[in-house]
Amino acid sequence: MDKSIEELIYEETDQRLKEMSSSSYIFPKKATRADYIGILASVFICLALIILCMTGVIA
Amino acid sequence: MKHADYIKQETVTGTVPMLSRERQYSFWDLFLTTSGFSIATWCYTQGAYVAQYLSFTQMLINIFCFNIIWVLIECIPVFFSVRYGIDLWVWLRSVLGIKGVAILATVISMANFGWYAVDSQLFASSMINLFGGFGVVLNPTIWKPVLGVLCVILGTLIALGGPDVIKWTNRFLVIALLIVGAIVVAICFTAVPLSSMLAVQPDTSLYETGLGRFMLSAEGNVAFAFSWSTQALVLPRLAKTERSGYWGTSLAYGVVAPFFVAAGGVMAMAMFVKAGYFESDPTVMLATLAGPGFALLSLLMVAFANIGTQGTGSYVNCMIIKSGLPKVSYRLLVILAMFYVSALTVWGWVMDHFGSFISMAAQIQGPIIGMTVVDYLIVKKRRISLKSLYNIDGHKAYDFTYGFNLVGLGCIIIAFVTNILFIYNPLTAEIKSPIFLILTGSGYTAVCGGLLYWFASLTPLKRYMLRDRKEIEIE
Repeated sequence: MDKSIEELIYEETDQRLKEMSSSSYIFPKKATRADYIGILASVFICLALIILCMTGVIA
Repeated sequence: MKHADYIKQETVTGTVPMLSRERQYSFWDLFLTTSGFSIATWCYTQGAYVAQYLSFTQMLINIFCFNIIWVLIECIPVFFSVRYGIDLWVWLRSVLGIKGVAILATVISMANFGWYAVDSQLFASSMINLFGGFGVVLNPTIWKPVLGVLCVILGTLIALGGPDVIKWTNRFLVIALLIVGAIVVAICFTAVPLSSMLAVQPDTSLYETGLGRFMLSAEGNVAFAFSWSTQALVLPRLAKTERSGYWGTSLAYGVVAPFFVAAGGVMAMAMFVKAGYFESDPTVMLATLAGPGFALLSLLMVAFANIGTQGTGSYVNCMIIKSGLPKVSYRLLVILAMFYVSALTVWGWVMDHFGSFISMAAQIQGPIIGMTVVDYLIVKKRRISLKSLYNIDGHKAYDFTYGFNLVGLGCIIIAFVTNILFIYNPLTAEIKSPIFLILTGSGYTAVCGGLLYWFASLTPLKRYMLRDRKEIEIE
Protein backbone atom coordinates (compact mmCIF):
# COMPACT_ATOMS: atom_id res chain seq x y z
CA MET A 1 0.00 0.00 0.00
CA ASP A 2 1.33 3.42 -0.97
CA LYS A 3 -0.83 5.37 1.44
CA SER A 4 -0.69 5.28 5.20
CA ILE A 5 -3.42 3.52 7.16
CA GLU A 6 -4.61 6.88 8.46
CA GLU A 7 -4.94 8.31 4.94
CA LEU A 8 -6.85 5.28 3.71
CA ILE A 9 -9.32 5.41 6.59
CA TYR A 10 -9.74 9.16 6.13
CA GLU A 11 -10.40 8.94 2.39
CA GLU A 12 -12.80 6.04 2.72
CA THR A 13 -14.71 7.68 5.55
CA ASP A 14 -14.96 10.94 3.60
CA GLN A 15 -16.27 9.12 0.54
CA ARG A 16 -18.85 7.24 2.61
CA LEU A 17 -20.08 10.36 4.37
CA LYS A 18 -20.50 12.03 0.97
CA GLU A 19 -22.55 9.06 -0.19
CA MET A 20 -24.67 9.21 2.95
CA SER A 21 -25.34 12.92 2.43
CA SER A 22 -26.52 12.43 -1.15
CA SER A 23 -30.27 12.48 -1.75
CA SER A 24 -30.15 9.04 -3.39
CA TYR A 25 -28.75 7.29 -0.30
CA ILE A 26 -31.29 5.03 1.39
CA PHE A 27 -30.89 4.84 5.15
CA PRO A 28 -31.94 1.69 7.03
CA LYS A 29 -35.66 1.54 7.72
CA LYS A 30 -36.58 3.66 10.74
CA ALA A 31 -38.21 2.46 13.94
CA THR A 32 -41.91 3.28 14.18
CA ARG A 33 -44.27 4.47 16.89
CA ALA A 34 -45.01 0.83 17.73
CA ASP A 35 -41.38 0.36 18.77
CA TYR A 36 -41.46 3.37 21.08
CA ILE A 37 -44.79 2.27 22.57
CA GLY A 38 -43.30 -1.18 23.14
CA ILE A 39 -40.35 0.34 24.99
CA LEU A 40 -42.50 2.59 27.19
CA ALA A 41 -45.03 -0.15 27.98
CA SER A 42 -42.29 -2.60 28.97
CA VAL A 43 -40.60 -0.04 31.21
CA PHE A 44 -43.87 0.88 32.96
CA ILE A 45 -44.91 -2.73 33.55
CA CYS A 46 -41.49 -3.57 35.03
CA LEU A 47 -41.53 -0.42 37.13
CA ALA A 48 -44.97 -1.30 38.51
CA LEU A 49 -43.80 -4.80 39.50
CA ILE A 50 -40.70 -3.38 41.18
CA ILE A 51 -42.77 -0.87 43.17
CA LEU A 52 -45.09 -3.69 44.30
CA CYS A 53 -42.05 -5.57 45.61
CA MET A 54 -40.51 -2.48 47.22
CA THR A 55 -43.73 -1.67 49.06
CA GLY A 56 -44.14 -5.26 50.23
CA VAL A 57 -47.33 -5.95 48.24
CA ILE A 58 -45.44 -8.77 46.53
CA ALA A 59 -43.53 -10.42 49.35
CA MET B 1 -3.14 -6.49 1.52
CA LYS B 2 -5.09 -5.02 -1.41
CA HIS B 3 -6.69 -1.60 -0.96
CA ALA B 4 -10.24 -2.98 -1.36
CA ASP B 5 -9.59 -5.78 1.14
CA TYR B 6 -8.15 -3.34 3.60
CA ILE B 7 -11.19 -1.06 3.34
CA LYS B 8 -13.51 -4.04 3.77
CA GLN B 9 -11.58 -5.05 6.86
CA GLU B 10 -11.69 -1.52 8.28
CA THR B 11 -15.45 -1.39 7.70
CA VAL B 12 -16.25 -4.68 9.38
CA THR B 13 -13.59 -4.63 12.08
CA GLY B 14 -12.82 -0.93 12.20
CA THR B 15 -14.41 2.47 12.60
CA VAL B 16 -15.31 3.33 9.01
CA PRO B 17 -19.12 3.88 8.72
CA MET B 18 -20.95 0.88 7.35
CA LEU B 19 -23.33 1.70 4.49
CA SER B 20 -26.87 0.29 4.29
CA ARG B 21 -26.04 -2.10 1.46
CA GLU B 22 -23.17 -3.68 3.43
CA ARG B 23 -25.19 -4.67 6.49
CA GLN B 24 -24.92 -8.38 7.30
CA TYR B 25 -27.21 -8.89 10.31
CA SER B 26 -30.97 -9.53 10.33
CA PHE B 27 -32.94 -9.45 13.61
CA TRP B 28 -32.24 -13.13 14.20
CA ASP B 29 -28.53 -12.82 13.41
CA LEU B 30 -28.12 -9.94 15.84
CA PHE B 31 -30.38 -11.49 18.46
CA LEU B 32 -28.58 -14.83 18.37
CA THR B 33 -25.09 -13.31 18.25
CA THR B 34 -25.81 -10.93 21.11
CA SER B 35 -27.48 -13.70 23.09
CA GLY B 36 -24.46 -15.93 22.54
CA PHE B 37 -22.30 -13.13 23.88
CA SER B 38 -24.46 -12.61 26.95
CA ILE B 39 -24.90 -16.24 28.00
CA ALA B 40 -22.01 -17.45 30.14
CA THR B 41 -21.49 -19.09 33.51
CA TRP B 42 -21.49 -15.72 35.25
CA CYS B 43 -25.27 -15.70 34.70
CA TYR B 44 -25.56 -18.61 37.13
CA THR B 45 -23.20 -16.92 39.59
CA GLN B 46 -25.40 -13.82 39.53
CA GLY B 47 -28.61 -15.86 39.88
CA ALA B 48 -27.31 -17.91 42.79
CA TYR B 49 -26.27 -14.71 44.60
CA VAL B 50 -29.72 -13.12 44.29
CA ALA B 51 -31.50 -16.36 45.22
CA GLN B 52 -30.07 -16.32 48.73
CA TYR B 53 -31.57 -13.02 49.76
CA LEU B 54 -35.03 -12.92 48.14
CA SER B 55 -38.20 -14.95 47.97
CA PHE B 56 -38.82 -16.90 44.77
CA THR B 57 -41.26 -14.34 43.28
CA GLN B 58 -39.19 -11.32 44.28
CA MET B 59 -36.10 -12.97 42.82
CA LEU B 60 -37.73 -13.35 39.40
CA ILE B 61 -39.07 -9.78 39.43
CA ASN B 62 -35.73 -8.41 40.60
CA ILE B 63 -33.78 -10.24 37.91
CA PHE B 64 -36.05 -9.56 34.95
CA CYS B 65 -37.47 -6.12 35.71
CA PHE B 66 -34.28 -4.26 36.62
CA ASN B 67 -32.49 -5.77 33.65
CA ILE B 68 -35.31 -5.01 31.20
CA ILE B 69 -35.73 -1.39 32.32
CA TRP B 70 -32.06 -0.46 32.15
CA VAL B 71 -31.27 -2.41 29.01
CA LEU B 72 -34.23 -0.83 27.15
CA ILE B 73 -33.01 2.63 28.22
CA GLU B 74 -29.31 2.15 27.56
CA CYS B 75 -30.03 0.67 24.12
CA ILE B 76 -31.93 3.74 22.85
CA PRO B 77 -28.84 5.10 21.04
CA VAL B 78 -28.85 1.87 19.01
CA PHE B 79 -31.18 3.77 16.66
CA PHE B 80 -28.32 6.15 15.89
CA SER B 81 -25.85 3.32 15.58
CA VAL B 82 -27.97 1.51 12.99
CA ARG B 83 -28.88 4.63 11.05
CA TYR B 84 -25.31 5.71 10.36
CA GLY B 85 -23.51 2.36 10.64
CA ILE B 86 -21.35 3.80 13.41
CA ASP B 87 -20.86 2.37 16.88
CA LEU B 88 -21.62 4.19 20.11
CA TRP B 89 -18.01 4.97 20.86
CA VAL B 90 -17.71 7.11 17.76
CA TRP B 91 -20.81 9.07 18.89
CA LEU B 92 -19.21 9.45 22.30
CA ARG B 93 -16.46 11.55 20.71
CA SER B 94 -19.10 14.31 20.76
CA VAL B 95 -19.81 13.77 24.48
CA LEU B 96 -16.33 13.14 25.87
CA GLY B 97 -14.07 14.63 23.20
CA ILE B 98 -11.91 12.69 20.76
CA LYS B 99 -9.04 12.12 23.20
CA GLY B 100 -11.46 11.59 26.09
CA VAL B 101 -12.97 8.67 24.18
CA ALA B 102 -9.56 7.24 23.34
CA ILE B 103 -8.65 7.12 27.03
CA LEU B 104 -12.02 6.01 28.41
CA ALA B 105 -12.56 3.41 25.67
CA THR B 106 -9.22 1.85 26.52
CA VAL B 107 -9.76 2.01 30.30
CA ILE B 108 -13.29 0.59 30.12
CA SER B 109 -12.29 -2.17 27.73
CA MET B 110 -9.39 -3.11 29.99
CA ALA B 111 -11.95 -3.36 32.81
CA ASN B 112 -14.43 -5.23 30.59
CA PHE B 113 -11.79 -7.84 29.87
CA GLY B 114 -11.95 -8.67 33.57
CA TRP B 115 -15.32 -10.27 32.79
CA TYR B 116 -13.62 -12.60 30.33
CA ALA B 117 -11.09 -13.64 32.93
CA VAL B 118 -14.04 -14.56 35.18
CA ASP B 119 -15.64 -16.34 32.23
CA SER B 120 -12.55 -18.47 31.59
CA GLN B 121 -12.02 -19.23 35.29
CA LEU B 122 -15.64 -20.38 35.64
CA PHE B 123 -15.10 -22.48 32.53
CA ALA B 124 -12.03 -24.08 34.14
CA SER B 125 -13.60 -24.81 37.52
CA SER B 126 -16.78 -26.22 35.96
CA MET B 127 -14.78 -28.48 33.66
CA ILE B 128 -12.74 -29.75 36.63
CA ASN B 129 -16.02 -30.48 38.49
CA LEU B 130 -17.43 -32.17 35.41
CA PHE B 131 -14.41 -34.46 35.08
CA GLY B 132 -14.59 -35.11 38.84
CA GLY B 133 -18.20 -36.24 38.43
CA PHE B 134 -16.97 -39.00 36.12
CA GLY B 135 -14.10 -40.04 38.39
CA VAL B 136 -11.30 -38.15 36.63
CA VAL B 137 -9.60 -36.02 39.28
CA LEU B 138 -7.79 -32.98 37.91
CA ASN B 139 -5.48 -31.03 40.20
CA PRO B 140 -6.98 -27.50 40.28
CA THR B 141 -3.61 -25.85 40.88
CA ILE B 142 -2.40 -27.10 37.51
CA TRP B 143 -5.58 -27.48 35.51
CA LYS B 144 -7.42 -24.29 36.47
CA PRO B 145 -4.96 -21.96 34.72
CA VAL B 146 -4.44 -24.42 31.85
CA LEU B 147 -8.16 -24.83 31.08
CA GLY B 148 -8.79 -21.12 31.66
CA VAL B 149 -6.16 -20.10 29.13
CA LEU B 150 -7.48 -22.76 26.70
CA CYS B 151 -10.91 -21.08 26.87
CA VAL B 152 -9.29 -17.71 26.08
CA ILE B 153 -7.35 -19.14 23.11
CA LEU B 154 -10.42 -20.81 21.60
CA GLY B 155 -12.40 -17.60 22.00
CA THR B 156 -9.59 -15.67 20.32
CA LEU B 157 -9.79 -17.96 17.28
CA ILE B 158 -13.49 -17.11 16.92
CA ALA B 159 -12.76 -13.38 17.33
CA LEU B 160 -10.07 -13.50 14.64
CA GLY B 161 -12.70 -14.81 12.21
CA GLY B 162 -14.66 -11.54 12.56
CA PRO B 163 -18.44 -10.98 12.62
CA ASP B 164 -19.26 -13.59 10.00
CA VAL B 165 -17.65 -16.44 11.97
CA ILE B 166 -19.20 -15.06 15.17
CA LYS B 167 -22.62 -14.97 13.51
CA TRP B 168 -22.49 -18.59 12.37
CA THR B 169 -21.00 -19.84 15.63
CA ASN B 170 -23.76 -18.21 17.65
CA ARG B 171 -26.56 -19.15 15.27
CA PHE B 172 -26.21 -22.81 16.32
CA LEU B 173 -24.84 -22.27 19.78
CA VAL B 174 -27.59 -20.05 21.16
CA ILE B 175 -30.43 -22.25 19.95
CA ALA B 176 -28.77 -25.20 21.69
CA LEU B 177 -28.20 -23.15 24.84
CA LEU B 178 -31.82 -21.97 24.98
CA ILE B 179 -33.02 -25.56 24.71
CA VAL B 180 -30.61 -26.66 27.45
CA GLY B 181 -31.70 -23.70 29.62
CA ALA B 182 -35.33 -24.77 29.31
CA ILE B 183 -34.40 -28.39 30.14
CA VAL B 184 -32.45 -27.25 33.20
CA VAL B 185 -35.38 -25.23 34.56
CA ALA B 186 -37.67 -28.22 33.94
CA ILE B 187 -35.20 -30.49 35.82
CA CYS B 188 -35.26 -28.11 38.80
CA PHE B 189 -39.05 -28.13 39.01
CA THR B 190 -39.11 -31.91 38.63
CA ALA B 191 -36.44 -32.49 41.27
CA VAL B 192 -37.97 -30.10 43.81
CA PRO B 193 -41.66 -29.11 44.17
CA LEU B 194 -42.43 -25.48 43.43
CA SER B 195 -44.14 -25.16 46.83
CA SER B 196 -40.83 -26.02 48.53
CA MET B 197 -39.01 -23.32 46.60
CA LEU B 198 -41.76 -20.80 47.38
CA ALA B 199 -41.36 -21.68 51.08
CA VAL B 200 -37.59 -20.93 51.17
CA GLN B 201 -36.93 -18.15 53.66
CA PRO B 202 -34.47 -15.49 52.47
CA ASP B 203 -31.15 -15.08 54.28
CA THR B 204 -31.51 -11.89 56.35
CA SER B 205 -27.81 -11.46 57.12
CA LEU B 206 -27.28 -9.16 54.10
CA TYR B 207 -29.49 -6.33 55.44
CA GLU B 208 -32.07 -6.06 58.20
CA THR B 209 -35.03 -4.89 56.06
CA GLY B 210 -36.68 -6.60 53.12
CA LEU B 211 -36.40 -3.40 51.06
CA GLY B 212 -32.66 -3.20 51.76
CA ARG B 213 -32.13 -6.81 50.64
CA PHE B 214 -34.29 -6.23 47.55
CA MET B 215 -32.28 -3.16 46.51
CA LEU B 216 -28.88 -4.70 47.32
CA SER B 217 -29.86 -7.58 45.06
CA ALA B 218 -31.06 -5.01 42.51
CA GLU B 219 -27.62 -3.36 42.64
CA GLY B 220 -26.18 -6.59 41.27
CA ASN B 221 -28.78 -6.75 38.52
CA VAL B 222 -28.44 -3.08 37.54
CA ALA B 223 -24.66 -3.55 37.44
CA PHE B 224 -25.25 -6.65 35.31
CA ALA B 225 -27.41 -4.62 32.89
CA PHE B 226 -24.87 -1.78 32.81
CA SER B 227 -22.04 -4.16 32.08
CA TRP B 228 -23.39 -4.59 28.56
CA SER B 229 -23.81 -0.88 27.90
CA THR B 230 -20.40 0.03 26.56
CA GLN B 231 -20.28 -3.19 24.56
CA ALA B 232 -23.93 -3.15 23.45
CA LEU B 233 -23.69 -0.61 20.71
CA VAL B 234 -20.88 -2.11 18.65
CA LEU B 235 -22.71 -4.96 16.92
CA PRO B 236 -25.93 -3.04 15.98
CA ARG B 237 -24.04 -1.11 13.27
CA LEU B 238 -24.19 -4.37 11.33
CA ALA B 239 -28.03 -4.47 11.50
CA LYS B 240 -30.22 -3.91 8.46
CA THR B 241 -33.03 -1.90 10.12
CA GLU B 242 -33.41 0.20 13.26
CA ARG B 243 -36.07 -2.17 14.57
CA SER B 244 -33.96 -5.29 14.13
CA GLY B 245 -30.95 -3.51 15.64
CA TYR B 246 -32.80 -2.28 18.72
CA TRP B 247 -34.88 -5.33 19.54
CA GLY B 248 -32.18 -7.82 18.53
CA THR B 249 -29.86 -6.15 21.04
CA SER B 250 -32.24 -5.31 23.87
CA LEU B 251 -34.11 -8.63 23.92
CA ALA B 252 -30.81 -10.51 24.09
CA TYR B 253 -29.40 -8.46 26.98
CA GLY B 254 -32.73 -7.67 28.65
CA VAL B 255 -34.52 -11.03 28.43
CA VAL B 256 -32.22 -13.89 27.33
CA ALA B 257 -29.33 -13.09 29.69
CA PRO B 258 -31.72 -12.56 32.65
CA PHE B 259 -33.44 -15.84 31.75
CA PHE B 260 -30.14 -17.63 32.41
CA VAL B 261 -29.61 -15.58 35.57
CA ALA B 262 -33.08 -16.69 36.67
CA ALA B 263 -32.23 -20.29 35.72
CA GLY B 264 -29.18 -19.98 38.00
CA GLY B 265 -31.40 -18.62 40.76
CA VAL B 266 -33.95 -21.42 40.38
CA MET B 267 -31.16 -24.02 40.39
CA ALA B 268 -29.62 -22.46 43.49
CA MET B 269 -32.98 -22.51 45.31
CA ALA B 270 -33.64 -26.08 44.25
CA MET B 271 -30.17 -26.98 45.52
CA PHE B 272 -30.95 -25.31 48.84
CA VAL B 273 -34.16 -27.33 49.21
CA LYS B 274 -32.45 -30.58 48.25
CA ALA B 275 -28.95 -30.22 49.72
CA GLY B 276 -29.28 -27.42 52.29
CA TYR B 277 -26.85 -24.97 50.68
CA PHE B 278 -26.78 -22.51 47.79
CA GLU B 279 -24.53 -23.42 44.88
CA SER B 280 -23.66 -21.47 41.71
CA ASP B 281 -21.76 -24.04 39.63
CA PRO B 282 -24.19 -25.55 37.08
CA THR B 283 -22.19 -28.78 36.92
CA VAL B 284 -22.52 -29.44 40.66
CA MET B 285 -26.17 -28.31 40.68
CA LEU B 286 -27.19 -30.62 37.82
CA ALA B 287 -25.26 -33.57 39.24
CA THR B 288 -27.01 -33.12 42.61
CA LEU B 289 -30.48 -32.46 41.24
CA ALA B 290 -30.61 -35.03 38.45
CA GLY B 291 -27.58 -37.31 38.68
CA PRO B 292 -24.06 -37.18 37.15
CA GLY B 293 -25.34 -38.05 33.65
CA PHE B 294 -27.25 -34.79 33.47
CA ALA B 295 -24.11 -32.88 34.43
CA LEU B 296 -23.08 -33.48 30.81
CA LEU B 297 -25.66 -30.85 29.85
CA SER B 298 -23.47 -28.38 31.64
CA LEU B 299 -20.74 -29.22 29.14
CA LEU B 300 -22.78 -27.26 26.63
CA MET B 301 -23.79 -24.62 29.15
CA VAL B 302 -20.26 -24.06 30.34
CA ALA B 303 -17.85 -25.04 27.62
CA PHE B 304 -19.50 -23.77 24.48
CA ALA B 305 -21.24 -20.81 26.10
CA ASN B 306 -18.07 -19.50 27.70
CA ILE B 307 -15.97 -19.97 24.58
CA GLY B 308 -18.64 -18.22 22.47
CA THR B 309 -18.69 -15.36 24.97
CA GLN B 310 -14.89 -15.08 24.85
CA GLY B 311 -15.00 -14.82 21.05
CA THR B 312 -17.74 -12.22 20.76
CA GLY B 313 -16.43 -10.30 23.77
CA SER B 314 -12.96 -10.09 22.30
CA TYR B 315 -14.37 -8.75 19.01
CA VAL B 316 -16.58 -6.18 20.73
CA ASN B 317 -13.98 -4.86 23.17
CA CYS B 318 -11.24 -4.69 20.58
CA MET B 319 -13.66 -2.68 18.42
CA ILE B 320 -14.20 -0.32 21.36
CA ILE B 321 -10.46 0.22 21.74
CA LYS B 322 -10.18 0.69 18.00
CA SER B 323 -12.74 3.49 18.09
CA GLY B 324 -10.24 5.42 20.19
CA LEU B 325 -7.09 4.12 18.50
CA PRO B 326 -8.14 3.59 14.86
CA LYS B 327 -4.59 3.09 13.54
CA VAL B 328 -3.99 -0.11 15.52
CA SER B 329 -4.93 -3.26 13.57
CA TYR B 330 -7.85 -5.36 14.76
CA ARG B 331 -5.86 -8.60 14.65
CA LEU B 332 -3.09 -7.14 16.77
CA LEU B 333 -5.62 -5.96 19.34
CA VAL B 334 -7.26 -9.39 19.51
CA ILE B 335 -3.89 -11.06 20.05
CA LEU B 336 -2.91 -8.55 22.74
CA ALA B 337 -6.30 -9.06 24.40
CA MET B 338 -5.64 -12.81 24.47
CA PHE B 339 -2.42 -12.32 26.44
CA TYR B 340 -4.04 -9.77 28.75
CA VAL B 341 -7.08 -11.94 29.56
CA SER B 342 -4.86 -14.99 30.00
CA ALA B 343 -2.76 -13.07 32.54
CA LEU B 344 -5.91 -11.93 34.39
CA THR B 345 -7.19 -15.51 34.37
CA VAL B 346 -4.03 -16.91 35.92
CA TRP B 347 -3.87 -14.03 38.43
CA GLY B 348 -7.45 -14.62 39.64
CA TRP B 349 -8.02 -11.28 41.41
CA VAL B 350 -11.16 -10.35 39.49
CA MET B 351 -12.84 -13.66 40.25
CA ASP B 352 -12.05 -13.30 43.96
CA HIS B 353 -13.65 -9.82 44.04
CA PHE B 354 -16.47 -10.44 41.57
CA GLY B 355 -19.26 -8.47 43.33
CA SER B 356 -17.11 -5.39 43.96
CA PHE B 357 -15.67 -5.60 40.46
CA ILE B 358 -18.98 -5.55 38.57
CA SER B 359 -20.42 -2.85 40.83
CA MET B 360 -17.32 -0.66 40.51
CA ALA B 361 -17.18 -1.06 36.73
CA ALA B 362 -20.91 -0.27 36.50
CA GLN B 363 -20.43 2.97 38.35
CA ILE B 364 -18.04 4.23 35.70
CA GLN B 365 -20.38 3.05 32.95
CA GLY B 366 -23.49 4.48 34.68
CA PRO B 367 -22.80 8.18 34.05
CA ILE B 368 -21.82 7.40 30.45
CA ILE B 369 -25.18 5.65 29.95
CA GLY B 370 -27.07 8.58 31.46
CA MET B 371 -25.21 11.18 29.41
CA THR B 372 -25.47 9.21 26.18
CA VAL B 373 -29.24 8.85 26.40
CA VAL B 374 -29.74 12.49 27.46
CA ASP B 375 -27.36 13.70 24.77
CA TYR B 376 -29.04 11.63 22.07
CA LEU B 377 -32.65 12.45 22.95
CA ILE B 378 -32.55 15.89 24.58
CA VAL B 379 -29.31 17.79 24.07
CA LYS B 380 -28.32 16.95 20.49
CA LYS B 381 -31.81 15.78 19.57
CA ARG B 382 -30.49 12.94 17.39
CA ARG B 383 -28.52 15.31 15.13
CA ILE B 384 -24.75 15.16 14.96
CA SER B 385 -21.90 16.36 12.76
CA LEU B 386 -20.54 13.20 11.21
CA LYS B 387 -17.66 15.14 9.65
CA SER B 388 -16.55 16.39 13.05
CA LEU B 389 -16.75 12.86 14.47
CA TYR B 390 -14.05 11.89 11.97
CA ASN B 391 -12.24 15.26 11.69
CA ILE B 392 -13.08 15.45 7.97
CA ASP B 393 -12.34 18.65 5.97
CA GLY B 394 -11.13 20.53 9.01
CA HIS B 395 -14.37 19.97 10.95
CA LYS B 396 -13.24 19.85 14.55
CA ALA B 397 -16.33 20.63 16.65
CA TYR B 398 -15.56 17.74 18.99
CA ASP B 399 -11.99 18.71 19.80
CA PHE B 400 -13.35 20.80 22.72
CA THR B 401 -10.40 21.44 25.06
CA TYR B 402 -7.29 19.73 23.65
CA GLY B 403 -9.47 16.75 22.69
CA PHE B 404 -11.38 16.52 26.00
CA ASN B 405 -15.00 17.59 26.62
CA LEU B 406 -14.57 18.92 30.14
CA VAL B 407 -18.34 19.03 30.76
CA GLY B 408 -18.82 15.35 29.90
CA LEU B 409 -15.77 14.23 31.85
CA GLY B 410 -16.80 16.42 34.80
CA CYS B 411 -20.24 14.76 34.91
CA ILE B 412 -18.63 11.30 35.08
CA ILE B 413 -16.31 12.30 37.90
CA ILE B 414 -19.03 14.05 39.94
CA ALA B 415 -21.49 11.16 39.56
CA PHE B 416 -18.86 8.57 40.45
CA VAL B 417 -17.41 10.40 43.45
CA THR B 418 -20.74 11.51 44.96
CA ASN B 419 -21.99 7.95 44.72
CA ILE B 420 -18.98 6.51 46.54
CA LEU B 421 -19.03 9.24 49.20
CA PHE B 422 -22.76 9.66 49.81
CA ILE B 423 -24.86 6.88 48.23
CA TYR B 424 -23.19 3.46 48.10
CA ASN B 425 -19.68 2.14 48.40
CA PRO B 426 -19.34 -0.96 46.20
CA LEU B 427 -16.07 -2.02 47.82
CA THR B 428 -17.64 -2.33 51.29
CA ALA B 429 -21.29 -2.82 50.11
CA GLU B 430 -22.22 -0.01 52.52
CA ILE B 431 -25.50 1.85 51.93
CA LYS B 432 -24.93 5.52 52.79
CA SER B 433 -28.20 7.16 51.75
CA PRO B 434 -31.91 6.31 51.38
CA ILE B 435 -31.46 7.30 47.71
CA PHE B 436 -29.86 3.87 47.26
CA LEU B 437 -33.16 2.27 48.31
CA ILE B 438 -34.85 3.95 45.34
CA LEU B 439 -32.23 4.01 42.58
CA THR B 440 -29.44 1.64 43.68
CA GLY B 441 -25.85 2.93 43.53
CA SER B 442 -25.29 2.14 39.87
CA GLY B 443 -28.71 3.56 38.95
CA TYR B 444 -27.84 6.75 40.83
CA THR B 445 -24.67 7.26 38.76
CA ALA B 446 -26.69 6.98 35.51
CA VAL B 447 -29.43 9.34 36.68
CA CYS B 448 -26.93 11.78 38.20
CA GLY B 449 -24.67 11.76 35.10
CA GLY B 450 -27.64 12.30 32.78
CA LEU B 451 -29.19 15.09 34.88
CA LEU B 452 -25.89 16.93 35.33
CA TYR B 453 -25.25 16.81 31.60
CA TRP B 454 -28.76 18.07 30.87
CA PHE B 455 -28.53 20.88 33.45
CA ALA B 456 -25.18 21.92 31.97
CA SER B 457 -26.83 22.22 28.57
CA LEU B 458 -29.31 24.72 30.05
CA THR B 459 -26.50 27.06 31.17
CA PRO B 460 -24.01 29.11 29.09
CA LEU B 461 -22.03 25.85 28.79
CA LYS B 462 -24.48 24.98 26.02
CA ARG B 463 -22.31 26.88 23.52
CA TYR B 464 -19.32 24.72 24.50
CA MET B 465 -21.32 21.49 24.31
CA LEU B 466 -23.10 22.26 21.03
CA ARG B 467 -20.40 23.68 18.81
CA ASP B 468 -21.53 21.41 16.00
CA ARG B 469 -24.95 22.89 15.20
CA LYS B 470 -23.80 24.70 12.04
CA GLU B 471 -21.98 21.66 10.70
CA ILE B 472 -24.82 19.16 10.51
CA GLU B 473 -25.07 18.07 6.89
CA ILE B 474 -26.64 14.61 7.16
CA GLU B 475 -30.10 14.48 8.74
